[in-house]
Amino acid sequence: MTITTQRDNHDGLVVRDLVIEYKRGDQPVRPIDGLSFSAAPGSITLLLGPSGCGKTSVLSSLGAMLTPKSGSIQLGDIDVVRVVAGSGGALTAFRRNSVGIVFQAFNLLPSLTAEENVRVVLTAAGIKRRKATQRANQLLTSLGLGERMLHRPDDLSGGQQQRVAIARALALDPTLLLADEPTAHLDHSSVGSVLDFYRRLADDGRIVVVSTHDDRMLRIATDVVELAPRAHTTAQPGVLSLSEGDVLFNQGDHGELVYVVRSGTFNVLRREPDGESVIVSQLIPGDHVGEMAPLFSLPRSATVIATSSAEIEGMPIEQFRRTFELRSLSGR
Amino acid sequence: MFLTAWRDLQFRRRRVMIAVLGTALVLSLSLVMTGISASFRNEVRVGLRSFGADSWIRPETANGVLIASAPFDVSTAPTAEQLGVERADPVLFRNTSVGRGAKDQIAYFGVVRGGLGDPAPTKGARLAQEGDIVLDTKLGRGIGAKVVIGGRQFTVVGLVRRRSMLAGVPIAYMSITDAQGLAFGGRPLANTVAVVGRPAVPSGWALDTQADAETEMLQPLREAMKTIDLVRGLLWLVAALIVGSVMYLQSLERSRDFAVLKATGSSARSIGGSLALQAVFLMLVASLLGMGIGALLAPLFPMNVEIPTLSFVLLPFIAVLIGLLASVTGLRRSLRIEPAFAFRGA
Repeated sequence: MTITTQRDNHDGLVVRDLVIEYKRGDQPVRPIDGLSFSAAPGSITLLLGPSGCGKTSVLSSLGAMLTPKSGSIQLGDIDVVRVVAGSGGALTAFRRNSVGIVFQAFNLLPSLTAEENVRVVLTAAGIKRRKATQRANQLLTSLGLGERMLHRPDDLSGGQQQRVAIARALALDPTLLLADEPTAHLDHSSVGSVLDFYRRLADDGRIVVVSTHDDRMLRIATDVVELAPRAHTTAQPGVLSLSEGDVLFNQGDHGELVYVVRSGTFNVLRREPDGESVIVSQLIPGDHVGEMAPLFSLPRSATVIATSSAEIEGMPIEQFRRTFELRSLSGR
Repeated sequence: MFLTAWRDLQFRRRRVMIAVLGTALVLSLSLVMTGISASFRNEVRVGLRSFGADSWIRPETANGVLIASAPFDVSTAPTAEQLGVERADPVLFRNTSVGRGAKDQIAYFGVVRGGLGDPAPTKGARLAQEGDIVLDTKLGRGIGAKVVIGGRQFTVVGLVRRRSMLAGVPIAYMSITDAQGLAFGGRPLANTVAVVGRPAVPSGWALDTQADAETEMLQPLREAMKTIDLVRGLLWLVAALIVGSVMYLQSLERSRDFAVLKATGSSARSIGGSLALQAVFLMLVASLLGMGIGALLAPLFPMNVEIPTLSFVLLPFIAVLIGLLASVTGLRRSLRIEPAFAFRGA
């Protein structure tokens, strides 16, 4: 496989103190809290972690599709966070020229043929139809799809669809290639060739960032960023007695228990990206806290501190559900 | 932009065809309604202008010259000489029915033979004597046929085309003496005096312009015309709803496509443009088809349907405008879609 490239050498990708926060219902969720990593041209960086740990959010931020709460993303001399905040022509130009994305489900336009799926990106960038067609044909042929160019995605296998998606991502020869779970829709036998393929894409001087929870990708990785290290919680279900000032859990901790206040009071504090902590709520007996982390496999989004002598009961999410269902039933 | 719009229409061709057909049918009905409404105005214009009069004289106390007139004795009416005009002839207008069981409505003008309003038939001869009648072809009587009106027998001597009043009621022309016999038992009364020139209207008399006379003749049809306008408005609304809902559905189903296009560097304007182009295409095809269906449907209606050429010309433009307005919700939705949506699982 040969993908011709017109790119000059460039600086790498530098992500610093990235914080991504969004709301799930009323609850603020911060899947990424202070992430930093860098990737050099020619490297493959794996964002490794289970579902829900924020891999896709990081990819969205790198692809200028999501504004992070704080932190910086620098691609060469481009301040990506500023580009996203600015929107308009610069944003479109960045998405068009600097970044290529291979989506997990490939997301080819079902009404277009393979060739048109690639061409549409080129014509959107102002390239004349004839030249765009030539480039699309060249890319697809180099990816072994010369015979399938006029087929719609429905007529293509998963592997072929992925290659069309890759051709689309490479159409404008971007500096940064993002791939979301590239092995998710492939059968076991195809995985090896896909891994080699991504390795070769990086060897062409691109920065490749791959989000995955597939350990098999480790063999091609230059760097691995573990987004959600396995939680090492020692907390056991049961009633805990705490004194004033004791910390129940810290923001960013991992945990599998939901807590229900038996007696005493607690403060729930959130640490903002600027380092300042604010009290977001106070807990009294009967209140519960900490259900988001075990429900969505996310780190704790706040710190909980006892403000008096207190007792609090920790329980697994299933027990919590049953308890609250019973309570709501008996309350009727 | 064009490629994605066109390919998507092809991809969803069944839905597009149903929407185009539905919209075309609705637009054709709207055209037919316009044609009916236009025919009301046309028949009055043609019928009255055939008199060649510039204005119409009536007693000052009368509300109008034809429908709302107050019949007057012809001998008391001002003459051309008194009015200082080239020509002034009394005219009598009434409507009645003919045939067994009074199945055919007819409107008749009593005119001075050789005077204003004496019709030049498209077939046959002019009114020559008492008992002669010139009829609109719509009544289906031939030259020489006998027609009984109000117990009097007339002989059809001439035929005229497209002469009707009061929403398609065919016109008969007869001498004013015959009309007076029919309407007033022979008393020498008339409704108005048709005038050529600029009259000096004597005291006790008033002048209605041609436009006044036309407005008066349309008065009984006002409610019908308002109803037609309302139905026409509703039909446009239905067309807008069809297109609007199809375009909204498109924007819903293509959410991921739009997100992917945004994520890969297509501008929001080009994405919105692609959807707008689909609405334009849909409405253009529907309006062209609607014109064809309208032209085919028009002769099937019992009333005159005279679709103005201007309506044919304007239809595609108005249709496109309505289509775009109806697509605003879908367009706005497509513009608001976040590119990060493309990352969501299949």
